[in-house]
Amino acid sequence: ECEEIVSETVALNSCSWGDSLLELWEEGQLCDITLCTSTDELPAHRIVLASASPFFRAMFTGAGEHMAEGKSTRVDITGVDGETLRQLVACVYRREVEITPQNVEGLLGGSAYLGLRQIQDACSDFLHAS
Amino acid sequence: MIPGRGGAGGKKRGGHFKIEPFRHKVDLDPQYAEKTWKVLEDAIHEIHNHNAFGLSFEELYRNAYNMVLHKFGDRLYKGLEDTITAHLVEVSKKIDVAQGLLFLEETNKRWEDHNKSMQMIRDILMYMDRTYVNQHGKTPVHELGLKLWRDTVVRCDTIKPRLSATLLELIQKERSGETIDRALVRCITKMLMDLGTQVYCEDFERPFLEASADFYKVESQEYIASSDCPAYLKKAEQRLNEETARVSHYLDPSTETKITTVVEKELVGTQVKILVDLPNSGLVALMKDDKFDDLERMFCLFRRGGVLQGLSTMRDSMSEYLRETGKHLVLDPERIKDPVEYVQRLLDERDKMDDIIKKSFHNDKTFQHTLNQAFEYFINLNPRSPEFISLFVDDKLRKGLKGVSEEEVEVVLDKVMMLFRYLQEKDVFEKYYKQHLAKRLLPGRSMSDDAERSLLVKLKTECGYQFTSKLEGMFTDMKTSRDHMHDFRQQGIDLGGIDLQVQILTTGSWPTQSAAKCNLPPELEHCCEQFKELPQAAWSLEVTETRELSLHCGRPDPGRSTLWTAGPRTLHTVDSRTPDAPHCGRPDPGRSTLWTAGPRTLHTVDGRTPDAPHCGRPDPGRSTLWTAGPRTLHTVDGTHYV
Repeated sequence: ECEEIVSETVALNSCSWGDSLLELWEEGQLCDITLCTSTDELPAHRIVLASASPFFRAMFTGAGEHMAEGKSTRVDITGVDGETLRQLVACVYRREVEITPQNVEGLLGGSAYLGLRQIQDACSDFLHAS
Repeated sequence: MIPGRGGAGGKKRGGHFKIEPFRHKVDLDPQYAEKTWKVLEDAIHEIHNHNAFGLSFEELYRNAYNMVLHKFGDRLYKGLEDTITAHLVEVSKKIDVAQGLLFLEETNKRWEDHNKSMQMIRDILMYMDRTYVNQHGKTPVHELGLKLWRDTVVRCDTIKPRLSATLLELIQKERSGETIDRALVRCITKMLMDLGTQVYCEDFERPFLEASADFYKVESQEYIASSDCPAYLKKAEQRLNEETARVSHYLDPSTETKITTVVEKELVGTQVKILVDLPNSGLVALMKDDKFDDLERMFCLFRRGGVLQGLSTMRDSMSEYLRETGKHLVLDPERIKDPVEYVQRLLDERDKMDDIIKKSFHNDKTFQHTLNQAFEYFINLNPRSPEFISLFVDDKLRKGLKGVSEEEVEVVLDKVMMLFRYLQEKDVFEKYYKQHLAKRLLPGRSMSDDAERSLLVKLKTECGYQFTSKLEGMFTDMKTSRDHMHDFRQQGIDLGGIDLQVQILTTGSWPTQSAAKCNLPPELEHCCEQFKELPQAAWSLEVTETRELSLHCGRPDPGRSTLWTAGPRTLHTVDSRTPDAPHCGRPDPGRSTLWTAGPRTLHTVDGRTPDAPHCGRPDPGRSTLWTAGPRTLHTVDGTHYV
């Protein structure tokens, strides 16, 4: 007798996937965009940035796609300073944020600018607590 | 203390203040807001002109962000509203210039452009949407774009009336069989829905429904004048299907019930009575001819929500027709001559209607009810219906079920039960049924004990234990008698060559008339005495004084069977042959003879009445049943008594 094959959905561990993206970013592999600030150049993956930030999503898939940013692999970021941007992008890949009295102001401004809601809320809570 | 905290703007969020990015105290250029807005305004123009390629998203985003951060949100929002409005005023002028079909095409093209532009503008002003708009209860950019499009374009004096008129004109063309650009109409109706259900309803749907009502009002008049009922129903069904398809092709799904209700009301509802009553093609004609499809179409159309009184009109007509034909059936003197045929016609008529209700009316309960009511009405018009139904059963149980399977027997019995249910005089039925049953049981003429029992169970289920207790008593008597006869024979008593058959019947259970004691000839008297010696019989005779003793003497003739009730006043026979003139006096040795104790009348159930019963000697060559109880006498002989 032939047993009926029933389809099955198995949940997969998404940590390893996040880890791999972080690894690719740290190794500088498959990066398709370079974020340019006045002080720094930061390679990253558009898909990771767009999935975390509505600002980047609009830049890569919305209005920005029909503007100068749409044709370029390098984009200027002037609203956030280089160091803050590097920290925020790292937070996106690492899925965690380290807030200190020294960096909280920069992170708060930068996360508001990029629409990184969770980081903005964490900074806000940090300031309330202190 | 955190440096720069004093510069933080705050807003309520989840019970505590949310801290926003710091505004660094920089000396702003007094022209900052105007200069920055100018940059954004120029960009919006470029976007409107499909010329955004040279713009920097990040720069525009940052400018809008900074304006909001530096509390120039009002300026930004106002500037946006004015710029978009001014742009749309120009757009509406361009749309208005377009003529004919181009008008809709232009509207649609401009609408698509507007949507794309607003999408980009919303991206640039994302930060304003998130903070300023939220905090000040303003309309978000996307909704603002819809609102301005609605008020400046769709509802401007020149465009609004043209838009709905053009849509209605296209739909009218399609109704007349022309092909239209459905995709375009779909885009426009979708645009109206995007602007809000209210806009769709007021600017399109309401005029559409009004125009449709007018159209179908006229069409129903034309159709009814030129079509018979089935053709009209087909057209109406087709129109309904077309409107449903139209909705699925290019209108909002919410319009479906509304437009079909309009068609139902104007095209079907207004003609219900006329269609049902059409002389040669209306409901009655369709039922007569078993037009199942047409009847189903009528049923399905008439039960729709927009059709008032549809089904009730059908039921009224059906009821009137059934009562009229039924009345003819039950009161026709020709039919009454043959009870079996009479009942068969009732069953046939009911089968036919049942079939129609099953196949065409989806087994609708209310139609079944109408059918039942009609049958109940006319069956009871003829007081002999209970008797005829019992006779029909009698006929079936005697000969009609030969070679018929058990299932088929059940079907026939179930159908009979249906007719039985219609009877108001159930007691009259019971009276006849008892007589007919007796005439089957006593001479052993029933074809199937199972079928007899089955019908008894059905009657019991229908009317309760009380109703069938006597009938069941008859079956019990038959069994008891058989048992006693068995015991008696076991004793091997010599009866002088007479084959004695005794049936002990319970008074009241059997349809006997009271009869005086009759004097038996000595030979039979002897037999009776012998039987009474039987302990069990004696017991039952003594203990239950209500029982009567019936004797069956003589040599049974298997080919004949007659039952005589020889009471003082009545004599029954179920023989097909009836004595010409019963007599009293000396028995004729060559004939079977029946004694009675002074009868006055003699009844037969076949309708013929002999003049007078007779007494005489039993013919040993014939089977005879004597009821030798104190009052009654039965015989199952099959001969003439001359």
